[in-house]
Amino acid sequence: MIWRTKFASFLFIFILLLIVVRLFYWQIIKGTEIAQRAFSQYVRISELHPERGEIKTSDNFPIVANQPGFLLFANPRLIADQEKSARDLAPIIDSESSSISAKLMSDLAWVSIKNKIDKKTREKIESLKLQGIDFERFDFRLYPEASLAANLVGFVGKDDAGADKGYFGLEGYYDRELKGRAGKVQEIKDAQGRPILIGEKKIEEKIDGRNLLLNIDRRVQFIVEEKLKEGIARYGAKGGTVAVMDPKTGAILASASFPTYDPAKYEEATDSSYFKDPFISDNYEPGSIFKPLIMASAINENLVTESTHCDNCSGPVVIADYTVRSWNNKYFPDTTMMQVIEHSDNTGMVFVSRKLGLDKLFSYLEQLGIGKQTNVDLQGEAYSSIRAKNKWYPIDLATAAFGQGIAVTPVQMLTAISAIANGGKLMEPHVVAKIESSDGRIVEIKPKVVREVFSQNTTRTVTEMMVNSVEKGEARWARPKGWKIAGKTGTSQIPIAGHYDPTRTVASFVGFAPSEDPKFAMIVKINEPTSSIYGSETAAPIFFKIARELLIYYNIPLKE
Amino acid sequence: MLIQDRAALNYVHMKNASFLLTIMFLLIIVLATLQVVISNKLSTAGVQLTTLYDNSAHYRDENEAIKTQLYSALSMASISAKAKELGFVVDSSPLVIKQKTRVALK
Repeated sequence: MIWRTKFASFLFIFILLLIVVRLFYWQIIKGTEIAQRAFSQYVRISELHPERGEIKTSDNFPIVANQPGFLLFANPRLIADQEKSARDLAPIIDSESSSISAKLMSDLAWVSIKNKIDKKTREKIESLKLQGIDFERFDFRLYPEASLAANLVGFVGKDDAGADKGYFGLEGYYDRELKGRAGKVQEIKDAQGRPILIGEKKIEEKIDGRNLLLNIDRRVQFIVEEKLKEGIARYGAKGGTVAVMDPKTGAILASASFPTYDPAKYEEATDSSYFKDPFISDNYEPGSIFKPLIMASAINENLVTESTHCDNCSGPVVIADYTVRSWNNKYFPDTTMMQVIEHSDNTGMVFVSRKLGLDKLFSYLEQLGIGKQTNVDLQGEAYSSIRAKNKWYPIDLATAAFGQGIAVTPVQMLTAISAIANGGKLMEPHVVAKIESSDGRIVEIKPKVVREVFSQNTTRTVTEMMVNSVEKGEARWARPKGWKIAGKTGTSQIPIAGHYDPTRTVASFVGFAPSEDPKFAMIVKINEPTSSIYGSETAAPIFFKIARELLIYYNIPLKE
Repeated sequence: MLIQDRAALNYVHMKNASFLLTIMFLLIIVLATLQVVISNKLSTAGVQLTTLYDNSAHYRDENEAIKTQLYSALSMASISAKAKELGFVVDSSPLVIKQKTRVALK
């Protein structure tokens, strides 16, 4: 009898041990794996997508906002008749039936069919009651002003991981501020996927992107784009750029370039070079619009005054194997510096460059930011470095004085001319005035003085020269009466394969108004006009048309 | 102490202990019942919560759609096109008052 009791006890202990071992296996060895599987069944982790910041003009109107949209995706494994589904979807989402069908036939659990589906399209697709088709919410960009300031703004594409990313212009430069930070909600859910309130809930709050408030004036931008478009068509040009700046603060008030693209449909752009903003990335030889800067440098060094007479202006100037001629082969012996600018006399500028010398010319080019980035707050700024001083020949010194053999971008040129307009300070150009957080905090971007370049006397003198150039120079026929406008025309030949093509030019005009207290500075650059190659007959009229509208818009009283 | 007194004292102590135990037992029953009732209510609140989420998303989408329409209506392009349609023309000739005008001074 005793052995039966002992046997039963031993059996119970053995079974107990087996249970303990098994429990040890499931709870300790496999414990983590089981817990994770259970976690994935009853816990739902949702991502809270942050709203991308808006981009607003100075009147607080958003030229870039967000609109609700959806990503149409499919689970091909749940679709019985892929061809039929593709045929039904194709006309609604404006895609080829064959390309949709190819995606639906893949052996995947998730394929993206089309992005940026709006609510109406979603409702049409839902009415088809197709199996295996669903939507994911994805806001996408809205452009209420269509392609206004497209080059300046940039566009939002995808990065390698499929997340939204800004490219070019403001979207690219301020991508981190605009994108915000995604949040997360971790909550217990029931079998139907509904949240259970008594369960543990963890929330990581999302941070919406910050809004950009620009210096761009919507009305000025509209005027600039309208007039530039008209001008390009009238003069048969390949394209053009106009930009307007407040010379006292460096604030960019408008910037337009054509040809351009629609940022809402950037993927349809025929040429990816349209994405770059020519205002900040087009390097070109400025031509005669560079002359006021060199003249100002020489005056600032007290090497010349407005009444200094030129002693080599009676004919072409020979330098080594080269001959420098005036643009129209007209020469004015004993001309004054005032008249050199008025006549846009290349031989007069050779005289000035000789007075200045290479060292001082180089120094002023550096001080004016030529050959360097201006640090404008736009992605994609390019610049062309100036050749080392020891690689300059006498002919290079001469040609640089009238803006050939040296490359600038429109933003560099406009910033440099603004230094004459504002009494001698080189300002840092900037598009954004304020950055606004989702919690209402505002960070102001204050104007920045890079350095003092010219004295006030110098700038007063050069301003008079530029006013004289407008009133008596080649473009005088186009100027609006009643206001004093300072400006300079420019016509530069385009270098091709080591020589200049005389029939292809960049025509430009740079200036500011009203000259006595400038409200704006502006650059107009027209690429390869065909009706006339000269800046005085193409870029200048566009400049004056825009200037007239701006002077009226800013209520600047007439003087004459 | 007399045996009868000690017995009486023990009896009182036991009676108090029983009373306390009964109270605690009842309290446990009540609290457990409350927990079950509240948990039950909360666990099914997920249905209402989902409905609220859906409603909130619907109104947010409607607001976004209205905002989109508003922005389009207020755009320069729309206003300019509407103005042209209505026959407005740009008058860019500034009004200049050349003579000194009398103004009323306080």
